[in-house]
Amino acid sequence: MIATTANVTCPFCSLLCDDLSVRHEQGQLEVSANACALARQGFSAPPPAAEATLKGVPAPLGQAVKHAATLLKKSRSTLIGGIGTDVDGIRATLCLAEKIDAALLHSQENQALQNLKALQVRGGLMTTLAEVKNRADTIVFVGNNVTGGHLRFIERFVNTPYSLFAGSTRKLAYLGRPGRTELHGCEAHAPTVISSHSNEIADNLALLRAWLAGRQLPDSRKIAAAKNRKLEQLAAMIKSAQYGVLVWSPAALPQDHADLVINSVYDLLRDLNARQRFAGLSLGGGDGGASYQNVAVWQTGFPAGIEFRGGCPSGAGTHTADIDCLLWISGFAHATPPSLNVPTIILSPHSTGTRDADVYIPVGIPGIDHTGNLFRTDGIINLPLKKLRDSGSGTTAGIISRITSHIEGNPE
Amino acid sequence: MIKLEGGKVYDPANGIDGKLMDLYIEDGKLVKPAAGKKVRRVIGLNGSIVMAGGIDIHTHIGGGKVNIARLLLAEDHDDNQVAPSALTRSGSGSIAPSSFVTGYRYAEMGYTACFEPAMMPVNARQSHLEMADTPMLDTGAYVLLGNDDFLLRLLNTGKEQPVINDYVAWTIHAARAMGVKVVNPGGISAFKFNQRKLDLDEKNNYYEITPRNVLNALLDALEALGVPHPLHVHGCNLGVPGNYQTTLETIAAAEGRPLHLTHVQFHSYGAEGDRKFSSAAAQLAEAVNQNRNVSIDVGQIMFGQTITTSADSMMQHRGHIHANPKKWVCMDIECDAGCGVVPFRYRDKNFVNALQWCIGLEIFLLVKDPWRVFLTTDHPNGAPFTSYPHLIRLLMDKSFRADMLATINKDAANASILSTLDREYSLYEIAVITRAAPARSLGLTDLGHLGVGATADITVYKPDDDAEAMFASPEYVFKRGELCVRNGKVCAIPATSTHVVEPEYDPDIEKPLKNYFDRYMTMSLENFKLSRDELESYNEGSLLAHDCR
Repeated sequence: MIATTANVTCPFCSLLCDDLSVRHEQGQLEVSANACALARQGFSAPPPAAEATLKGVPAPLGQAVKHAATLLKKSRSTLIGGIGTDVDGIRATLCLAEKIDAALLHSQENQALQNLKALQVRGGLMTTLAEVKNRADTIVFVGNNVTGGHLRFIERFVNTPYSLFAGSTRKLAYLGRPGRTELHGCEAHAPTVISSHSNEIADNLALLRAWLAGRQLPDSRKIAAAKNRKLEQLAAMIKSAQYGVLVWSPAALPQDHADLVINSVYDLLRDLNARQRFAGLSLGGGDGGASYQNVAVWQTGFPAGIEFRGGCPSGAGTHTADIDCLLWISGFAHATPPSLNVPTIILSPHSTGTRDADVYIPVGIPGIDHTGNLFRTDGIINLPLKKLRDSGSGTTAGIISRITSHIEGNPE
Repeated sequence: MIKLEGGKVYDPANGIDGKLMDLYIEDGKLVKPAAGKKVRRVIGLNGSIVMAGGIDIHTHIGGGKVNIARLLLAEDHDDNQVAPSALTRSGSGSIAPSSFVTGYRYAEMGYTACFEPAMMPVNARQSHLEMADTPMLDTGAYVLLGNDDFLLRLLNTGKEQPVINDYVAWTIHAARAMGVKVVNPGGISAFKFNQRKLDLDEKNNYYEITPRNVLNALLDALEALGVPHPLHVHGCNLGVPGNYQTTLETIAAAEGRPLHLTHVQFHSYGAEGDRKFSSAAAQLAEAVNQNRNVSIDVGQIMFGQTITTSADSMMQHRGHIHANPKKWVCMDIECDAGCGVVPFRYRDKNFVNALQWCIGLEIFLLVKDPWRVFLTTDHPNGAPFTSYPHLIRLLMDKSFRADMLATINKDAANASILSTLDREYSLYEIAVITRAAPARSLGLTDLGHLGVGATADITVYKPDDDAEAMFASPEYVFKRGELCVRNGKVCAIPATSTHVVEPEYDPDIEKPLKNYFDRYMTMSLENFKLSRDELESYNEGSLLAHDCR
């Protein structure tokens, strides 16, 4: 039977585009409208593996759940990693982590931390995708290939046929190197590109901030005339904006000082908002990362670096040195587990690379094999996920809850 | 059937003022004792004080800005970690505690229902998810309208009121809400167009409509739809010296229509005196006393560290200069609203803060009808909700109040009439402002009272001359008839409910909405709506839909 489902939410990047149509034929899915490369690949995933395995040997699900519980109960220091799952999966994971005093590390946590370090120290000014689409007459990308992991960003929020307030032509600027095809189709917006080595981005932001604040640069700063002209031009563009947005992605910033760049962005935004409106947008938080941060904050009070000791959460940083058991959750089949040489339990749709795992349990992909919801890159908007096929596999939330019940001595 | 024997009952909804009575609970309800019904358990109360479970009509417990507040208060979470027990989950925080801890702490003070006052339609999923992770409490939320571009466009193009009514009702359904709140009407939108203040009759530069226009549309809509709780209004000019004039004009603008003014303490400031900051509590209270259509909650401040979290991005941005510690977040959100989160430390030796404290108490003591005043600190904006027992003692105990007044900034104490106010709230009045009146205002016919048929949400306090000690640690709390708190500690996790209203509307409103969503929004109309099924999958509690008139 062939069926097509409309208004499908795509869980494969944190834009959560929900205008996809997905064609379904005997368990195989194909995006028939509004696909990007990530969606095309994500939705083409075969149905989850049929069987759980213990060291690569098929085992009944109940036995696998029980063995996972035994390993986790025996462990003195479990790391729960990956955590690529939906909100419900994260709720169940945090509950388990509390019972077994686990440490948690999301696959996107290093990127999230870059934003958090800046935000938790001084705060920030943020905006969301619909504000960008409808209000931003000026968009400045900060970093290299900023939208490279969010392939429909330009199409959906910049080159849009409809915008409530921004008009048809926006002013675009790039502080960094655009991706090879990133600005295709943006010619009408005549983007200003201040291409620079990634290590110069922070510097350029500081110069820009000085320009905008009307501060004199010390004489010792010799700046190439061409660059100076471009920065002056960019400063003028920013000053004339009705509503401007600075867009970055932690993954597209120099990794050794991304938090400093983000701090500079927020400093600039604080300055600008004294007289005009400008806001920031970070692209990131895929693989359920934005959801993990939100749920973790409301359940534990901490956004990252979470460890439970005596059941108490702390957010001081995840210690991985003395880990003696790994629970790896990869519901979107996004990330592969580190090899830690400790007993390993893997929850993932596919069994590839799980032969050596002590326990492998197949789980459905949220938004394909079961319903659920996820938070978007802007952190405040949450979209529902559809079930598109009946694969018979369990949800991560369901499997984790069964393991937790076993550990508590209440097997179903 | 459980018998609660010999309690001193304060049940204002049924006119009972400290009468020694027995109460009977069966299947989660208060029942009449009848022949043939077996009493399974007798709990002797020996004259302890019995009230319905507390109801907080305005407390920020769920949603994006609360989570941003938690993020900014990292130190508070580091310093206040909460271990789990066999029954309870872990968490952290004393100012904007994590969700489980919020539920336990409220229940441990005898509260059994809490209402999140500022749920953005686009953030409804998150708000309900957080409330689902807030145990012990019935919950519900007021959906934010009045800064969303769809409504402002309707008003700008002069759409007739029935269309607006349909849109309001549709939004209540889409977000699964219990009421409607408006914050700085049109002002959050104006801030996106770089306006920095908006008076009641000042135009939004883009839409050319005024806060008064927005208020009129929403007041009319809620009346037409018969939503029990009046429009919940956070007015213009929050925190600005002299803003009481705006507040009085807002009351006049209601023209007799039901109106709830929230955290009025922040809207009752004069601009007199050397420091151009003074109390206008008397003027505000006089207006409330004269206008029976108006109810208020106070938003009392307490001294110490807290964090202010509001949809009012315009006024929060303006207030960021007071951030302490020095970090703050403002956000423009999805053509829907915005938010601003600013940590704040209220200091008793600071003139303005001390006078804010006096203004809140003056309002409590000057408004005559307790049925139209609800006890709030606008948690966490004025203070964390855990300060309620202290606040109750301030209201009930004049000499305690005088002692506290003697410790604050002298100029503020001298500028306030607080020392001349002799009123002491009675237990009956406390039961009104913390239970009976909020329930009545929300249209919760089964909560907030102890009559036969009511839901058996019951709190029992051991009498104590120190009201703060008494209200901090109830002897017993029953939720739907289940004993869930004993001597101020959680002893069971009871079932709870999510309260909503579902006013009728013409589904044709989805035609213009669908067009709007397809063109301008970043999600489909279908995915914007939070269905009953999806909400129930969060396990927030059984969905209870209340009647509209």
